[in-house]
Amino acid sequence: MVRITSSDSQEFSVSQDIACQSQLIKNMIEDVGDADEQPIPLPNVAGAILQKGGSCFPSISNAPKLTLFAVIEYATMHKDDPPSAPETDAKPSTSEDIEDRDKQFLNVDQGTLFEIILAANYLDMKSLLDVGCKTVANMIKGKTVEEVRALFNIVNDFTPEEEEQIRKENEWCEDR
Amino acid sequence: MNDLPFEVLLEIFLQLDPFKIAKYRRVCRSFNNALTALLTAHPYSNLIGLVQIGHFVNEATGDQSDIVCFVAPECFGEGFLTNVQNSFNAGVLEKYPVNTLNAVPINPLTATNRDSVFDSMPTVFDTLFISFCLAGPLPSTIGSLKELTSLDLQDDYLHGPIPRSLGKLIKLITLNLERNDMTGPIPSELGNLINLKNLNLSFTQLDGAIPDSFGNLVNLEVLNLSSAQLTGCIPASLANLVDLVDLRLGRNKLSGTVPDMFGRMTKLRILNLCENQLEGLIPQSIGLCLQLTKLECENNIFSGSIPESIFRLPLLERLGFERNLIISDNLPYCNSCAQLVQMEDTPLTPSTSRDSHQSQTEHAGLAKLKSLSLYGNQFSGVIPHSIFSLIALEELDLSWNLFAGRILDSISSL
Repeated sequence: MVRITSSDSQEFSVSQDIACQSQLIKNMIEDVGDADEQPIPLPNVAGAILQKGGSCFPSISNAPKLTLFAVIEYATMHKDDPPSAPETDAKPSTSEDIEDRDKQFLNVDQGTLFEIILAANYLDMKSLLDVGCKTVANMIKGKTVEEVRALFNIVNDFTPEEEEQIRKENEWCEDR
Repeated sequence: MNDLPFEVLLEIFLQLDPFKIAKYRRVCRSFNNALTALLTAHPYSNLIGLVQIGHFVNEATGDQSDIVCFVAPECFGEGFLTNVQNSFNAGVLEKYPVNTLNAVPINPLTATNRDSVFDSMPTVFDTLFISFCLAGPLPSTIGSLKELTSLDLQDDYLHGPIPRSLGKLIKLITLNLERNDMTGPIPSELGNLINLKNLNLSFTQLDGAIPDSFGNLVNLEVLNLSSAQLTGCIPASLANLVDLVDLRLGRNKLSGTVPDMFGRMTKLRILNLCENQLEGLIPQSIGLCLQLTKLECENNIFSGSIPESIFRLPLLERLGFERNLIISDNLPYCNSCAQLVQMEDTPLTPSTSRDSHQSQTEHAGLAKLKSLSLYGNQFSGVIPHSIFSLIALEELDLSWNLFAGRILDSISSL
């Protein structure tokens, strides 16, 4: 078993094959040697109080997100996956091919989704980062610039001159 | 979302159709940074694809074509596709709705010629044969199709400039853009295509000068730049093109004197300089091109006299000098033509022929001349008797000159 602690000092005990789906943890264990000695701190990942999606303690606001818990749930779900095939240039992955269980797993509010993606990025969990990004990509697909801004609450932070400049450069690909 | 780290944004955009992401640059700064990095890096900077923008039935011939345009990630979008559809002026295009169209990437490893460029296109109909015609501009990423040996786009509906990146396709043997609405100058980078045997940019709207760098294209057999809008002088570097069989620069706006550059072009069969503003003397060295069958210099402002050696070219079938300023006391080939009857069909090898030119031996030419057009010049004197022994002559026009004397009876032998 491997002990890991979240940014809010929650401690989790997970089996090594699950923990090592994170390349970051795997490298740490390899560097440190014996994994049982002391917990591995993950200062960038919030811990787990709430169940994923906030269903357990919906009344508690401002609670740390359940990111690490969710990540461990994902890793447990995928612990028996065969090692991912080496990527080939010939057939690029498309955002369509997301497994149903992953789709369900990532069927969360936007904030949680981005927390999970950030955690996957930090923990270096390629497959989770991949499905997370695919999920976001599917949300963007087919939308106009304005629709994307509205969907993700993105503030247009260009000066009018800068935006005009890009509009000019992109004249040929702007929607009509 | 916009505060996601750069590398995560990249991951997200990598999941999307590379031909459809450039428009999101405008969402916010972090999007712009990630997308700009992505689109300018390999392989996105080299992507080129095809989009079927419509269907066209030629009412005259009944031929059906799917109209396709090249796209690159930075120039794919509904605005672009609408522009290309609207620029199609060959007839009624059945336009496919632009918001439904997808780009099919061209595989740069297998695209070696026109047909294989279209290999990735799904055919809309289950017919045995469907033809694709190209419309729109050539994107600069066409330079990534490095396996192309032949790019034959004759009679397509392309417009816009020739991208400089075409100069990267160094395996090209044939580059044919005849009869497209290409505009702008000929990029000097085409001079890098040293394997070219056939370069045809005729019947275009290309302007500017013929690049000096064309002198590097030493394997060229056909150089056809006729019927465009080219200006400036003919570069002397073309003297290096010693394998040329067919050189056509006619119907442009070329000016200045023609360099005396033909001495090593011993394989030249067709030389067309007509309908330009070329001036000065007709180069002596044309007389060394012993394979020449057609020499068309009409509608220029050449002056002086026609070099005598030209009249001894043995295979010449058409000689056009009409509408120039050629001033000559008399037609200079009287003597050489005298032997025409005996010398007809005498094959001349290049080695003996050079001799014959220098030593003025008895080799005569013009036995095969079918067309001799000298009208609209300032020839004077008597029409030489020998002209009437050109036994293959089918067309003779000597009008609008200053000939004197009477027309000989021997004209009846023609």
